[in-house]
Amino acid sequence: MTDTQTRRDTLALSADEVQSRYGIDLTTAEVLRHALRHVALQMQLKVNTAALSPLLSEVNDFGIGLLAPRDAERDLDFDALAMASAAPAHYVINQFYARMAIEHWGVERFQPGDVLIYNDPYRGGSHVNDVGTLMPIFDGDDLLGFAVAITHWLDIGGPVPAGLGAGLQRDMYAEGIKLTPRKLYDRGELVPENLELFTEQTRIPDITINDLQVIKSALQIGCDMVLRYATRYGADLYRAAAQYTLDFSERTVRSSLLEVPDGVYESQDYLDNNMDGEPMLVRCTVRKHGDNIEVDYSGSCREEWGGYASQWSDTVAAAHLGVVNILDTTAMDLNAGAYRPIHVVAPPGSCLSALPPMSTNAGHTMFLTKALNLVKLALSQASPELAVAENYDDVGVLGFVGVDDRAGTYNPFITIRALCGPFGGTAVDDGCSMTLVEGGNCLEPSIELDEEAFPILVLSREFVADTAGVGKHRGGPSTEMIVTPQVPVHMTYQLDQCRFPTQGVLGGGDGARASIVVYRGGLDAWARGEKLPAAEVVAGFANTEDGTPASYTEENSPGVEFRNSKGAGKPVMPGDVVVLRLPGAGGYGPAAERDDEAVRKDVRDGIYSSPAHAVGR
Amino acid sequence: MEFPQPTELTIDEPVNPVDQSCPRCSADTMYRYRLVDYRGWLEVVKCRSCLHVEDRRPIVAPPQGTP
Amino acid sequence: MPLRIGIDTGGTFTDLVVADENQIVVATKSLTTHGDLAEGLLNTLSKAAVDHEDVAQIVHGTTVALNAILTRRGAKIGLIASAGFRDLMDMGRGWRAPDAIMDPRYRRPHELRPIVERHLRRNVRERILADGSVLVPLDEKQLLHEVEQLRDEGCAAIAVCFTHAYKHPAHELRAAALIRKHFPDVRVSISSEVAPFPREYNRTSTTVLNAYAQPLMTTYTSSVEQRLLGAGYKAPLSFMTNDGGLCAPAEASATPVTTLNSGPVGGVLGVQTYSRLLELPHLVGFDMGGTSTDVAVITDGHASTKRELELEHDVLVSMPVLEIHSIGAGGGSIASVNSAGGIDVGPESAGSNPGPVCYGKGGTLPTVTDALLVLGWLAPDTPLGGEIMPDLPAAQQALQELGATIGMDATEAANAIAAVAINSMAEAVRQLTVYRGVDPREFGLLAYGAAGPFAATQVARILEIPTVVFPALAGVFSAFGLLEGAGFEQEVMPIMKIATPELMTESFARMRESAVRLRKQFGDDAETHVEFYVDGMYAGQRWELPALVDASRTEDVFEHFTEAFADAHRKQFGYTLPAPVQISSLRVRVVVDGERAVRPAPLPETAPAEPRSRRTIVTGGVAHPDSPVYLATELAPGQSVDGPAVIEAPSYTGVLVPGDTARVNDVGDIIVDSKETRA
Repeated sequence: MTDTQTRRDTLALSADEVQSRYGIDLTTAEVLRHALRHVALQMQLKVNTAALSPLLSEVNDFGIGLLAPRDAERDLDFDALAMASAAPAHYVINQFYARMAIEHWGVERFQPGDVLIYNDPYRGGSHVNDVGTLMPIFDGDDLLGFAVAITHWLDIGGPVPAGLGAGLQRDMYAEGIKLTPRKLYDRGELVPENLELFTEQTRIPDITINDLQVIKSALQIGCDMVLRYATRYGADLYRAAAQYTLDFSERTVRSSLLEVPDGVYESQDYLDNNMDGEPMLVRCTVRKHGDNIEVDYSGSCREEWGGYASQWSDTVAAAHLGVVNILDTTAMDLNAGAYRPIHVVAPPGSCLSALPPMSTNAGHTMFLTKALNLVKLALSQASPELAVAENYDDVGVLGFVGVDDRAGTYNPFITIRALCGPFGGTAVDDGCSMTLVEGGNCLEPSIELDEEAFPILVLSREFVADTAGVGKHRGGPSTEMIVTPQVPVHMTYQLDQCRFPTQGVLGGGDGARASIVVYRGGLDAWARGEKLPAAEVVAGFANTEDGTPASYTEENSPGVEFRNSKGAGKPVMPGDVVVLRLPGAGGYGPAAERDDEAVRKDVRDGIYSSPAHAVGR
Repeated sequence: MEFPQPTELTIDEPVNPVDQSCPRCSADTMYRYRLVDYRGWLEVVKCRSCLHVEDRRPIVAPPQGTP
Repeated sequence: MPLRIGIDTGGTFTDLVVADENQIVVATKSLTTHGDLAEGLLNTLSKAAVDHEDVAQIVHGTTVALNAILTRRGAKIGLIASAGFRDLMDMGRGWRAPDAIMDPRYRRPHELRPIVERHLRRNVRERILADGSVLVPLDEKQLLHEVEQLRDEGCAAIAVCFTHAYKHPAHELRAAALIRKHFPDVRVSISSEVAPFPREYNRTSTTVLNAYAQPLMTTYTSSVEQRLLGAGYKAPLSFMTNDGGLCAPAEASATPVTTLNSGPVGGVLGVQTYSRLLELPHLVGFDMGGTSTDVAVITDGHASTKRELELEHDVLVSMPVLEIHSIGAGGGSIASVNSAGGIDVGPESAGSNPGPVCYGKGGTLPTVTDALLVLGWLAPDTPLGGEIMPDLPAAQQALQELGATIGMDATEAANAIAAVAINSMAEAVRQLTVYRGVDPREFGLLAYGAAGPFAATQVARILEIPTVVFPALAGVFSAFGLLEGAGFEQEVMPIMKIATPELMTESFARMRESAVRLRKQFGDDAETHVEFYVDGMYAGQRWELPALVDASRTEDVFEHFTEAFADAHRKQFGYTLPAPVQISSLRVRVVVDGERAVRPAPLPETAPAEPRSRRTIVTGGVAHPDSPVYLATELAPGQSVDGPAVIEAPSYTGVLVPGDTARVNDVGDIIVDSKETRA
């Protein structure tokens, strides 16, 4: 078979087919397909360069882009059309969050220059800190879609500064302000009483005043650029290009799905704990046939109080991302068309499909990541080429709140870090040592700049030997962070895999467990390079009597307990040393098959302490 | 709208057999259940072998509707 | 008759221009000699046939340091880090490259191709805090022990980066002194000297890259110096730096990271020169090369700047640089049709070997160059680069095969590839303008590089840019721009405080003192001027921005600074904030004066040129049979050429589309009015 024949077996259309199906020539369709992605990137750049919240300027905890027009004949219904490169989970959720907001508001009510704002997670969202905004794109009277964004707000009010705070927000009424869709801008004019919701009820009024305006101008850039294209090519061709672009992504995913062996694949995992300390089972069954796929989370445990639950829309986004991530479609366009071949069963009342009044503030990152990894673990059984071992499997979070009085002033502060960690081994290579789980693409902020801004010192951030899951291709090693506050603080923390290891695939080994311990008053000893005083376990296995670390092998021994791996409000004093260790990631394939040279390098580089460790003996 | 916490420890989506064989792959049974496609919630009649969807009906998302 | 010479060593050609006073008298090029770059440089010089006694200055743009890094052929080096920070190089900034956001198989460039492997990265116990207090004193014994081991491992250079050292360098300085004393054969780069700017990762990366490139760069600079001397050139040799300044060979050897972008920066300075010459204060520089297209923006006569230069994802140097935005779409970029029928151009490139299919050197994948040949933009009967006769049938065949997968013939496929590539290039320009609130319609576009003028007017039309310039020296433009570079001395003073009237008064005084110190290094008769920069950000922001201030002022200092910063912020981001400004550093730059701007030599008065030939060109999917082809060397001053037409110069080819009207000025620059629309 020639190369050409192979290609015709795929779902590619000919130029004539494109013309007759969409009413646009292939060249213009392709030009606009590429252009749409650039529009989204421009919008993202505006937020990056102008926002004051580090989560937006530096950490990229947002998703921004365009919704398509509505056009029944072209099967367009304000679908997510182009999204930039920041946090993938956010831009998938736009498909539900923004569209449900439009429906709730009433599409006929929009005027040019309006901006809607909303953050009710139960309307297709993620958690209350993720604030949705959208702006209609009007070409005269013709509505050509919307510019939309989801941005993580550093604080949204409620009892726990910065939110999250598993266990401290029993239900959704304890999560902070929650807005049904309303106008932030009315025909271009700021609506002060809605801005005041943020300035009066959150802990970051100054940042908010700037950042809400920044988001508006980023949405405006999207509108302006779409209009530029619509003027150049005509609104009809823009619609045609929107339809073509969504279909194109669908064809990309379908043609990749055709390569995956049909079958039913299952996976399961546990979240370390619920509010009462009990492990939470999550299950996934993937049914794959032809170019369709169904991801079914039946069998997962029920929703739990205190933030141990997540929104259906988060779960659907996780399933979508899990499928397209594991397929070799890394260069594909990020839009709703890609998700057409994917059906998701998210049983209501389960931890992955919460019902009111459950809180989902903390559960958002925990379950999104679990649900995404379950899809990859299930499909890893479909073929060795696809298989990917488990990554560190949560957006690790470490945050501190307190009052910065270093300069003799009274300065309340909130600082929160999304922690990057290791990825699992794959058919191609070892796992990445450090990057964010695929739901996001956060940047690790500069420690030096953080130490200027907040009274929190990061004393060390380094890989740990003998933590990477062994394998033909090993996982990435754990990263250990050592942190000490300069003022009394409360600590927010969220980790997973403190109780259960990350899973290897195809005979690869599991990664090492995560943990958080505090050495009370240990700073002086640390600074002198001496042995630290007794450790107190914050997250992980501990001896009940004195709180000192215990091995996971003693899990069922009397006098040993598991301490929850998520929480908030943990007091830490100046001089205390906090040691947070992320899990190591799982390995791929039997360690016995690992290349000798790779073993030698790993031992030389201290990833493993001996060749025996490197092959799991 | 509020819902009680389920008493079952794990939750399955209720899957009800429909007395009809699959027109595409001839599997004996198809099933009626809820799922989410890229646009939102549906109740479908679907074959679990070849994933053929025989019938689909948009429904209100459970948090706003009936779980 | 003092002559000034600019020499830019590129991947294929070494370009050279010679200026006599303010006029270019020689422009030439010869093949770059890989393996011994100095030889090609000398070859080109001898081709220029100038009397070496007449040469007053030689300015050089080189990619030696850049290539050492990109090809991982730098020295074996070690890293000494603050205890707990040795893994930064493998951690980067955490995020994935933009094309890998959804990729669970992603690995970082430094994990895959390490510059300093983990066993050569050593922790040394020390920790200074942000306020300068010492939490852990430097463990000198451990330092010497680790360096000894690294030396024994064969490390030729050591990079040292400690946290907060950019403003509290005591431990780094002490470490450098100790290493130099005990291990005189080992070179040392310390972060507080190489890049005294905040951000531990950026500074570590910069220092590591510096140490890595140092030995190769040192060898190169001394080789060039010796060869020049050997050939009788006694004129001082300078290297172009990333920020458009000049530095002496010794400095280039000590801090090679300052020369990484030296060739492309020459091009940007050339655009800046043209912005003045043609009185186009807002000008986009557009350089289409073999593997990428580089875009730069001149606003109000000045090139925009940036704080970092990223070579691979998170492999970067962090220092003020002239901003160049590069996209992976150039002449050698490979066009492909993916499984869903989408057309992509780049980022994979056929490079120069095997090169495009039409080179006949074994390339089988169609490239942009092949498409341009099929569209008639490239002459089918003129050797490419004066060397390779293009193989049109082979290009057609390759495009036909590609097109067959989507039902297009060779010409249609070529047209689609050109359209996708041209639109990506236009988006690259938007990337530098739109988010700043700058409207591309207020700009001109200057196209250079051998391929820039092919697509320039079409890119301009997408952006509604009304004026396009093909400069007379488009083919040696970077070498031309090197002559705009100025020698300078610089001092950086880290601050990291919120601006107050007291702080600014004190800061301005410090800058004035620094200027006096720096000025002394130039001798009494040198003519210089001083530039004072305050790098800052609105409190809460994380990206520094330089504000040009007048530090000679002693009154209303704070008001003056606040206004200057607001101006800079508006120019960069399109708005200002009512927020306090955090000052990160003060920079003083004493720059050598002198009229450096040069122009090409005037054209002789001749009769207007007639077309040399006619051929069919296809633009925007429309064939234009019998389009005239002019030779640029025959064009007369004042002559007009209407599109569709092709202008062939010795070192570039320009394409005019219907509606374009080109006018030739007195020196042979071609200025195109691209406003008109005509079918």
